[in-house]
Amino acid sequence: MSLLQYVVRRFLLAIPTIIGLSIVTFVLANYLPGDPLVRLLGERGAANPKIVATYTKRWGLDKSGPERYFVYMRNLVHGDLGRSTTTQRAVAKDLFDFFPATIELALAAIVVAAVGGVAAGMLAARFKSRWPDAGVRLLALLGSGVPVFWLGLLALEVFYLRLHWVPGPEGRLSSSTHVPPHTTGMYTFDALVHGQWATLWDALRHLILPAFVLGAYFLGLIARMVRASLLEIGGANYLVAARARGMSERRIMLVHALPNALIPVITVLGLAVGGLLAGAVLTETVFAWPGIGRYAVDTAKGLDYQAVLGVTILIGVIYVVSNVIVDVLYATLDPRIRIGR
Amino acid sequence: MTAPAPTPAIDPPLPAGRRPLLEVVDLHVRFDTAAGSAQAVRGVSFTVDEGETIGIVGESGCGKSATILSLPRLLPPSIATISGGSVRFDGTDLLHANERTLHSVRGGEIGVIFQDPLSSLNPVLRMRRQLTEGPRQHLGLTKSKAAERALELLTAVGIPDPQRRLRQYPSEYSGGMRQRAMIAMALASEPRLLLADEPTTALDVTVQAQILALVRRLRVERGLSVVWVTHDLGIIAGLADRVLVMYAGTIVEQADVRTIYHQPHHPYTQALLDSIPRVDVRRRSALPSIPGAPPSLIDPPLGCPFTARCAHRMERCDHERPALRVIGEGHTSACFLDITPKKSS
Ligand SMILES: Nc1ncnc2c1ncn2[C@@H]1O[C@H](COP(=O)(O)OP(=O)(O)O)[C@@H](O)[C@H]1O
Ligand SMILES: [Mg+2]
Repeated sequence: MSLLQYVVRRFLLAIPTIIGLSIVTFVLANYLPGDPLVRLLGERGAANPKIVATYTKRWGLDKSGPERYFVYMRNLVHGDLGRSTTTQRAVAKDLFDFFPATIELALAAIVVAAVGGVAAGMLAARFKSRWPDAGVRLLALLGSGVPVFWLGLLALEVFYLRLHWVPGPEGRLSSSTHVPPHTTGMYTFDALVHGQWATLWDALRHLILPAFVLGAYFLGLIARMVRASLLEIGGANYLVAARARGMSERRIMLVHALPNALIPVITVLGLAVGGLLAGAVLTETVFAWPGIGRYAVDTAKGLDYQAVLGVTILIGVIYVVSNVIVDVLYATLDPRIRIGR
Repeated sequence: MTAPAPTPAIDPPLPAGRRPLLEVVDLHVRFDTAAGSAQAVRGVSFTVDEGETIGIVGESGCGKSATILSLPRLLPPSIATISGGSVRFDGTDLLHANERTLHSVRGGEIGVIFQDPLSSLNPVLRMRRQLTEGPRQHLGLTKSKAAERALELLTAVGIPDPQRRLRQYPSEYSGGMRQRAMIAMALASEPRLLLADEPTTALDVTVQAQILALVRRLRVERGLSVVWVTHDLGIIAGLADRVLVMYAGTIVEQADVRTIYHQPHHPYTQALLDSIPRVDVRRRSALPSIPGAPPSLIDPPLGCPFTARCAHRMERCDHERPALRVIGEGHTSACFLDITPKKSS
């Protein structure tokens, strides 16, 4: 099977998963406490018979559960996720506005975790049982043992309050910096493509600490995994064979050992997406980061039915899609999966 | 303990002015394990001339792999130590060579074929990558020139449809093809010496014969020197010029291939010959079946290591280790027996 065939097949297989996920979410959301009309329209709206009638028709509220689901899905396909009672705006618009902040944070955290974790793991394996190894293992333990909110507060205490290296928990940009023109909604990227260097710098300074805090757990996990798998394949015959062809230790490490050692790490990256989204809720709260995580917390507090439903489905879709991407990465790295041996 | 004197290389005199390509003197290799330290190689000396093929024969666990893999220093330093001796390749002292020299000798001057082709090929790299990296480094070829060369090499070792094969991964090759590819890889940078560690053990008889024919041809075409390790004396017959018989980390007999087959001196060589299956009997397992097993190398016996299994054992064999001595032209043996023992039926 070619890589392309594999990718297409994998994406097709994801569709039933996403449908199943939306059903489960929809059913669960219906068990939220309180009067459904109040949840949908807020106290004031629920008191107005005209609004109630319009909404009942639009969301099929007088119909059975399965029918309500189809109405919801039909509206969803048309980009209508209802209104948030918290922000008084369309949920789709809210998600569109808050989502890029989370993606930016999560991507930065994944980069931090992957690059930092692989580098630290290589260092630890290279100097096994010597001080770099001990240091990396201690840091990895800290990273994966300390809760995100605690780590966030600690990092703020040290790098903001004491060292003044980074700005405080004030969101994505300083108040004096203008938001860059909207291309992706990720400020670092938008500033970069529009050549706004001062904005880019400001965005990066705001991004770095939350990204490290959010990525710390997986940085530690990946470091330990890379170390373990490098040590495990350290004596592999194919490495001896590469040495016998005259390859340098550096090349053997980077070209021959690392791709093999990274195969198990890819699985962790898949898990990381779920973990990062969960962690994003806390990180965004600590750093006043206006992303989906904060939106989820704020709307859930107000039992904002359609906002919560929209956020949950969006996160579910991200999770499924990122798992597909991970599988594809996996198949790229390990040909045996594709070939089916 | 009567430690035997270092055994000097006793070889047929070389034609004037010619020096051996490889010269191994009194090599010692030790494996440090939890169970103790195994004296895997205990004073092995031999030479290999330009264009010559040496066979190293012995049961498994006798130190054959340890001997040849320590020449280009390929044993993992974490468990194996070369504890003594010298290895000279074309005048270069390999045991004291720096990393740079080693990197250019490995692959560029000395090619190695390993026993298990599947585990010796990197599962996640395409064959093209593994076949071209050597020539790019040693011969300074560009990426495309090296790919052309890889194509020629695969053709030379008899792999059909090489263009497609280059794009594949090792898991897509059959066992015989992997071993051919390994040979191609070992020869890719035009080495002068080929070290082969039981490369046909995992293959069936037909493929084995094809591989042997291939190596014989390449040896003639390229003037290659070869050290071929096997536990099967039968394989060596049509391939080697000279044979070293190894037992318990030492060379017990050394002679040209005809002498080994027709006038073996050491009882161990004799026993190995007796265990070769007849040509007309289908060979199921190539393992020689001499009663008993080689002694442990963690605490090797004081006297001759073969006494426990020897049909000609004498009193002195138990406490005195026989040194290699000349018993004929180009023929040495580490046994106290005066005359060649009669071939046991
Ligand atoms: N990886 C290893 N770990 C520990 N001891 C080993 C290892 N490889 C070899 N040895 C020791 O070295 C001896 C010779 O092994 P080896 O050279 O592989 O023999 P051969 O190639 O003749 O079968 C073995 O009997 C064993 O005692
Ligand atoms: Mg061996």
